[in-house]
Amino acid sequence: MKKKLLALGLSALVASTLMAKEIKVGILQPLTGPIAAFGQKTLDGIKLAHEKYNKLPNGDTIKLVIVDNQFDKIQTVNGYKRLVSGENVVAVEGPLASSMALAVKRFADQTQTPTVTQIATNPRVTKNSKYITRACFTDDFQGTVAAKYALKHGLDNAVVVFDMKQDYSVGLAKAFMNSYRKGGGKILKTLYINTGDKDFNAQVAQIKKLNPKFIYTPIYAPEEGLFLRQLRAAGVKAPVMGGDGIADPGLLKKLAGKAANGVMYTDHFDAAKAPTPLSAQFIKDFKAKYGRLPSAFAATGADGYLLIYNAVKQCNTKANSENTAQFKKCVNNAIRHTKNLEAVTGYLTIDPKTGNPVNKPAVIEKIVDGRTEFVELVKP
Amino acid sequence: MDFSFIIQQVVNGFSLGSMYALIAIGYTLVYGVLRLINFAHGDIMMVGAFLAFIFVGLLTGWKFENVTMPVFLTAVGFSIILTAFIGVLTYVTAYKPLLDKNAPKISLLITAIGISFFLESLFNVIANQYFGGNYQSFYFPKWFSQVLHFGDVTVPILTILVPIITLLLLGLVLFILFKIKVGIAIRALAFDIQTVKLMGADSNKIIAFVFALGSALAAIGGVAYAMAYPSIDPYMGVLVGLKAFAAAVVGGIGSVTGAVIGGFILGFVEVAIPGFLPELGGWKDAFAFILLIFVLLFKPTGIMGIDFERQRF
Repeated sequence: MKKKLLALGLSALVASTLMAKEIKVGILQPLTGPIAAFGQKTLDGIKLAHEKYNKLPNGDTIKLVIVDNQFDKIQTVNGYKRLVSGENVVAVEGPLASSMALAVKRFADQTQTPTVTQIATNPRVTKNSKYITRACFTDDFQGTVAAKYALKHGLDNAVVVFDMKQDYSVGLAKAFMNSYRKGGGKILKTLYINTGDKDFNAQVAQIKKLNPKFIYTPIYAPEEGLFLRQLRAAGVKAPVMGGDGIADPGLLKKLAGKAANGVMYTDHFDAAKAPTPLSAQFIKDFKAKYGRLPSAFAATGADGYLLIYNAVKQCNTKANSENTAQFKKCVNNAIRHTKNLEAVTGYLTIDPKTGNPVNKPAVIEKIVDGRTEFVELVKP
Repeated sequence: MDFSFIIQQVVNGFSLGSMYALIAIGYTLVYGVLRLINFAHGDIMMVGAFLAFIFVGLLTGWKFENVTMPVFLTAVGFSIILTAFIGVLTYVTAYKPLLDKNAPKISLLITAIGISFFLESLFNVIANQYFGGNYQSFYFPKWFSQVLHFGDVTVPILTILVPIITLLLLGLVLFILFKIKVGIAIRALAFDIQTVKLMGADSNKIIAFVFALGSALAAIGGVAYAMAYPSIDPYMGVLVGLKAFAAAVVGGIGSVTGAVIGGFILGFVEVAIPGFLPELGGWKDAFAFILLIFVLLFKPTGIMGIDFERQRF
């Protein structure tokens, strides 16, 4: 009897020391589909951050469970459910794009799963939700930055071109217009496009007639590329600015050619300006691993992961690991109360009430001769 | 609203309409023979554009900017042949086994949707794996970008070229259908497959030819579309295919001439709505389909409405 007990105790001891647990974190990003490039870049950042920060103090490790949402609402919801109930993850990072993040919002609160959307900028994403937290600035801020920049440079009348099908685009257009009007700017006209459109000649003809000083295009890069090409071909020279949705200089250059020159956009991060020591190291490691500089997607991807990692580190107690629901609650609480966490795009402090980071700066970038140039850093 | 503006819109409408027409012919031919709405046809058009892009790359050693006229035409030629082959392949691998088993028409339709998803995903993988992203810039010789001036009207060469090519191809298709043996066989097949088989004709070969012809035309349409809006992606065929299908229905599905007329009408509507009513510009796709409903309300068989028991093509 004694022997048996000893053996049992011994085996339990062996099991607990040798079998350090794997704690699963879900990654839900568009790895195929129309914005696959954004998802892949994000994943690069997440993977690098995970490589460096996967060990927890008690020897447990974090394991990533990667699911592709194909930039499709149904796939997003299915993928999210699979992660939460099939894989029993303690937290989910993603999805990228506001319309997809809005699609999982209800499920995040229902299943009480801490969800960090690293780059969905629409204000409604975190509104009234206890379990979705954002790692980036909102469109309200992004729109304000663009409006202030335009007004500062004397560009006091503008045309806004936005995509009716995208929550991101509609929200950002609204934020820009509010702030622009408040600052004394005049909106000459708002023009609509649809995701997937290729012919913008009608919109361009309107813009040519109105001859605005400034054109604001809170749309995505595939449409922006062809829009720019047709706009410049028609001889319109007014400066064009967009949001982080067009922050894909490679694609813009590919689609617009020379017409991409001069276009500006607000973004989360510029690899030329590392805001923290961790950021500088990240940029160095990223270059060593992938042979190029990290984009804002990679940087925010890493930020989202670091938020989760930091929270899991705090919550990985024995009591929690036996009770997933409790674990998840703890992680969510820790994410929401993050203070001055050193990350890649800066120091992250989350407002526990809104789930948005406070004091997150934006950078304005400009494409010059096919290269991205840093214009300025704007703090809230 | 001056005269030259109207002319400009008419020219643009013609050009866009021709591309729809080229694709609509494929829908109509296959429908006429098999009574199958080949929903993968829009994606065949994407395949044509993508293959032309890949061949241009292969022939220029991946220096797309250096594309010259002979290289481009060769690439397009290869693309047309290969696309036609892929079209036949979809028939042989997916539709024929079902037809042989006398499967219900709805199974064929679902198969068509399956092929559509397959082609999209295949080129999604190819584009992401080998070309670094879904969206690719389509390169073609500078000559096509020339602009001609007629008074106030500026017309890119492409805008004139595409309708001319479309009309020539329409002539060719009609010639094949009415003057050549295989065309007569196609029309016979459209009447009654069983009887044609009883007469000892190889219906499979004829149907394969129909798929090849339709796919080749779709490839030409795809290349024209990619030149007009020089960006290609694996999903470009979805909406264009749907609109071409609408064009075929408006024109009277089963009629080749109708498909071309339907294509032109749809092109005009799509150019005219944002041109004359700019406020509604964002809704132009909606108008294209409202037109479809409207025409069908008054003429359920489409403009060239065919009484299916009496006449084909």
